[in-house]
Amino acid sequence: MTRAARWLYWLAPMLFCIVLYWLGIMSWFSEDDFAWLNLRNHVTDFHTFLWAMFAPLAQGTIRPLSERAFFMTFTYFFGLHARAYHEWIFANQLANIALLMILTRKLTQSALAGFLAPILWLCSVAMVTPLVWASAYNQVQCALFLLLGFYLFIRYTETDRKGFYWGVWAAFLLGFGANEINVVFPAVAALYAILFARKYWLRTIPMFAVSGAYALFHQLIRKKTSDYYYEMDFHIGSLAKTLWTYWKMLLAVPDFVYFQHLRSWMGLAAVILLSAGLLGFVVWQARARRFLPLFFLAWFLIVLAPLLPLHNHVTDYYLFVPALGIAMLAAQAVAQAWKRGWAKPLAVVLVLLFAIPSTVQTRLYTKAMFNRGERSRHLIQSVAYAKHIHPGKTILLDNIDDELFWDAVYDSPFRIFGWNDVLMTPECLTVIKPDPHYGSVQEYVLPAAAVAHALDDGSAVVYAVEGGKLRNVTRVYSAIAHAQPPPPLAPSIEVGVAAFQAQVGEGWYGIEEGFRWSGQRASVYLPGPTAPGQKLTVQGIPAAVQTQSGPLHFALTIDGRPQPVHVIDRENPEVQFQYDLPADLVGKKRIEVAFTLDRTIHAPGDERALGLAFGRFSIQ
Amino acid sequence: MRYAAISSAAFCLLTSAACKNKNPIRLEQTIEDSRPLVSNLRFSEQSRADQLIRGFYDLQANSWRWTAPQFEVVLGAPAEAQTKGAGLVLDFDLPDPSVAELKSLTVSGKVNGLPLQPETFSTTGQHQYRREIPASAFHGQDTVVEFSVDKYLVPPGDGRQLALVVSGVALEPK
Repeated sequence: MTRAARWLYWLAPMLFCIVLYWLGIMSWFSEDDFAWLNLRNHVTDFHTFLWAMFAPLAQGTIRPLSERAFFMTFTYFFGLHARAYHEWIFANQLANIALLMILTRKLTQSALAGFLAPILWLCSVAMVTPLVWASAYNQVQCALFLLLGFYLFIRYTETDRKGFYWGVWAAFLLGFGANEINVVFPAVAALYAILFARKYWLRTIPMFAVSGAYALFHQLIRKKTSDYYYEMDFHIGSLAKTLWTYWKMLLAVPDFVYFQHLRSWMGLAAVILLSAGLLGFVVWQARARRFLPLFFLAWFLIVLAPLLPLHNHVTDYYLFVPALGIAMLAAQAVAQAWKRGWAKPLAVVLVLLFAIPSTVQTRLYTKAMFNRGERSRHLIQSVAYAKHIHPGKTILLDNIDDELFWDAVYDSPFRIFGWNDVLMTPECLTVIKPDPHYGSVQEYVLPAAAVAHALDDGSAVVYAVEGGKLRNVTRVYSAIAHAQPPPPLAPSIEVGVAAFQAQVGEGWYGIEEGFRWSGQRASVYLPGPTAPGQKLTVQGIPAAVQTQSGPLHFALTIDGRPQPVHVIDRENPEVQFQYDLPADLVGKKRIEVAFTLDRTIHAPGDERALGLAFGRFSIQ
Repeated sequence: MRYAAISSAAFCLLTSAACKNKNPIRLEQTIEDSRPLVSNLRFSEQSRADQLIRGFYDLQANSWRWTAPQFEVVLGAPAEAQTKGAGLVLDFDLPDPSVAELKSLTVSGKVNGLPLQPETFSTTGQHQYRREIPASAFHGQDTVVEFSVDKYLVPPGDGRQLALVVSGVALEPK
């Protein structure tokens, strides 16, 4: 091979990756990205830094390297300039490609297989999400540690040099910082040792111990979180069904058939053909006591195994690391076929049967994900401009559709900049499909009564989404709001938000950074409950200062009716109380909620008689 | 040579990351359209589509739109409307299929919530729904006009509810 050919050999798969996923490099943020981008804002000292790095978040996962450190470092240097994040992800992916080539060449002793493995891997739809969505970077990084650890393990078995063994340990331990499926590494290494370097399998035992301890620890953490999408089912039927779904997803033909409006039997026929080709090769080789194809197939099954119980969360990017095994297997099969003239056409047909539909689907999904990111980008960058030209005003977003809400609003991107007053208009609720597993959409909406007040006093600006732009529609929206009958009072109010001023009664001081001090007596107005059994919740800031000179008695009335008195003291400084609402108040347009404290405090240099700081009053 | 390339790449990466980004997000200009609302809305004037609140389908032939059974616009109030009142005119067309299938359609309107007398139409071709609006209906510069139609077509294979073919709506000064 000439020097140029050698360069081309190594660089072609990397160029293929860049060309196929170019939109991934250019894509913006969406969904969970915003929660991670906001993580750094929670860090105020070393304690909160440790929390941000290691506390179980997002379904109880702890991925300090691929999520916490990645996002916190990049937000510090690059803010919300997405390109830098994606360049890093692609650099990592190019390293993965190089490692895959090296590994496949080493294991199969075939340059052709080494070349084909990354190409086939890159064709897979499993690549799309990790290469387009920054929140799925954990898969790319996990692949790096697994491939690196496995390569070092092979080198260790070849040379018996301790340096390689410690390198394996380093990659293995770092892998836990990327993704919890790293627990499977000892199984992969042990199987390799049993099949090809038997005397080394004992060296994997300590790693099993670490993986076991990690799995136990992770399971204990997970039990504290309950999430429908991450519910586990260990029944054989469910596991087999999930495996079959992943297998079809990996081969991509059924989805291709669906999108191209072809006959559904074609998809199934293609899956059977491809499966027969791969499994037939494994069996044929195994009968000749050549177990490398079996090992590659086992890679797929071992890495996928921990994900099979997640029957409610079957997703393409979970195949990212398992697909490495199938890519190596297919590449070896093609390389073997190439040596036998009669098998060449069969290999070409099967490769094309996989590669063409997969590449078409990959392009389609990449474009769709890119477009979703673009919609998020336009919305959030436009809101940033609106906040810039309307400082201090509430921004109300109108015409937010279901997809845009879940992609660009649900994960609260505006809080990254400290904007708690970017909300949606009540009309948006009619087009957003709520998901009971993801909480209420109401908290993202400013209630109609508060909207009317904010428009009257000019403290809000309304923007409608029009294509990729935000249009200031305050005037039209105000005209429509004024033409409607007066809206009902909001059942949940924040006394520290100006838009709820109309429902704030007497006895309050001015708004301070999202809250208000009450005097000795204060009141708010709420609508009556909509159904019997609803409760009133009162939520304030813990009264640590107020209780220093003794307990505080909090007496509340609901439409003039006294309720049980609560005692707030040093042991229980929390100000969060719930009251039953009388049934005869159901349907009342307006009720008064008032409270009285037995004493107030005076802060140094402040003449005000301060009661408690609130807070929210809500009927639910 | 190889080490020089790697070192250069590492240097570029480190220098680019060495300083904190001062602007954490790009600003994207919004459309701050502060033009006054027009009181005579011709649907051929696409730039004023922002005055169509709801119930309108896509613009056709650059001049008309199908409407849903309820549709709504916001118009600028004509000069002196608050003292003299104004006239409301809805220009629409009833195509042959509508009359053939529905026989007749009754159009009713509301101006700033004030109900107007309905009118029934049963012939094909161009029509006007015309009403006098009292001065008391006007509260400010902007006027919300709502229309509703009692019957509509639902073409097979088309989920839309098609009521009127509207070409314009206007508030005329007295």
